[in-house]
Amino acid sequence: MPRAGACLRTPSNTLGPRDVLCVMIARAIDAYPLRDPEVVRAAQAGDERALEALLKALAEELMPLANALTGGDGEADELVGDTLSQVYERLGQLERPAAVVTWARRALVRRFQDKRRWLSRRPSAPIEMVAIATPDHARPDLIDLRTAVRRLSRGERALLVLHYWQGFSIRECAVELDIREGTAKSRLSKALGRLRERLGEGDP
Amino acid sequence: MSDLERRLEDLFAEDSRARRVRQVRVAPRRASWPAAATLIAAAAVLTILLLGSLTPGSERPASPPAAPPSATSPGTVALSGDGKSVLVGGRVALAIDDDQIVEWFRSKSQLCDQHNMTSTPERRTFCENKASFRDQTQFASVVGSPDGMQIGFTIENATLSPDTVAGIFLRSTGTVRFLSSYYLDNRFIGFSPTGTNFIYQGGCFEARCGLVIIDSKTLSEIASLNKPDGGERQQNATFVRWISDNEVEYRLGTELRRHSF
Repeated sequence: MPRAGACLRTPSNTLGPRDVLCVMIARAIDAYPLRDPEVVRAAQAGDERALEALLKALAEELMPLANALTGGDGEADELVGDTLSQVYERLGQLERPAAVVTWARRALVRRFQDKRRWLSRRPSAPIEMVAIATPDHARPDLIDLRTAVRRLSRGERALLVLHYWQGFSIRECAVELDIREGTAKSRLSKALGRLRERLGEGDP
Repeated sequence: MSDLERRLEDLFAEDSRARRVRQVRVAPRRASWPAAATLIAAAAVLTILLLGSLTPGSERPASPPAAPPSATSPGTVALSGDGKSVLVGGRVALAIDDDQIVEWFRSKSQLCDQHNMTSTPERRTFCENKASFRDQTQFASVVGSPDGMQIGFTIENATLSPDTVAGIFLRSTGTVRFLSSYYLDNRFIGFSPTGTNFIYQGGCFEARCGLVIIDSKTLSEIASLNKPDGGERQQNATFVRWISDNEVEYRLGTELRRHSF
């Protein structure tokens, strides 16, 4: 499922025809809840099939984000599994079914930022399995960048992923990460500076 | 958008495709908290059994010889001056660099997992070098059971973070069992008057803790006070005193309460 941020592939942030189409599709999808709100309500009411369908859909939605945050390693499985556990445990408290994706995404990002805290209060995991396919990636020219990104703090990595890949504005990132807009700006600037420094690149 | 920013997009897009979900299975019914706790406890017991069988006392070269346990002469339980050893009758019963403790920190505390391990050079040294581990870690407190056969402890590591973990050492088998996670305010509290039960503070998060009472003989949980009940704790629980072996007084927020079991 494309997201608006994943469509912005052209230099100088200008949109080509394919990008415009991609953004339109992504926004159309984003405009609707992940799945029929009735599915969420049924899951809240205890319908096991609805719950399973909802968690599967959420897992598919969250896994790319978890991959991007973790650099595509095995922690992504744990992140998604734990987030789904939390969704499962607290689904009954969700008042707006349409917000289930936002709710789950924020839980995942915050859990990523503070791994130890979330584990310390993680509910019992009801998810029996999150199976994955073998990774088939690795562009050689991105290896150094990946290494440099992994050396950033988790908060900085989360900000970069949300801003550059999910396409969130600085303000939206600040909301997602529960920080002030000014903090998000300066954190982004510092993270880019650190990356340039580690990659041996001067200011553009 | 700079070249770096475009490459970041490419990187995250590439990473995002690295793995995908094939299947999610849900437990047929929501497990009740006690059932889940039982499962977790069973797994913990199994882990301890395995640890006990895999780490015999003879494989602890860094630890001085343990004092021979005796149910009739418990001896005084005390901490060495540097906090690195638990002494019973003046002899070392448990050292901070005991293999079971080191292994727990390496594999269970999350301080040494893949991501935390690389957070700083000091962390890697701590995780990989036993001498460094010993330098940075110490017992914060120890409490002996009335018969002297069990020693409750709290371990801290001021260098890395202000977190603590509660555990118990069974002298009869030389087994160390950790009771809580490694997190701020988790700590062993003490034994009941005759030692049939003990209590520790656990599950702490953002200054809100639970109290857990354990049967000393079976090491099974017999009461959990201030349980989160699905969400987050609304108040902190603090132990006040034992009324008897089967009743404690504690404070929930500002309210004084008693619980019998």
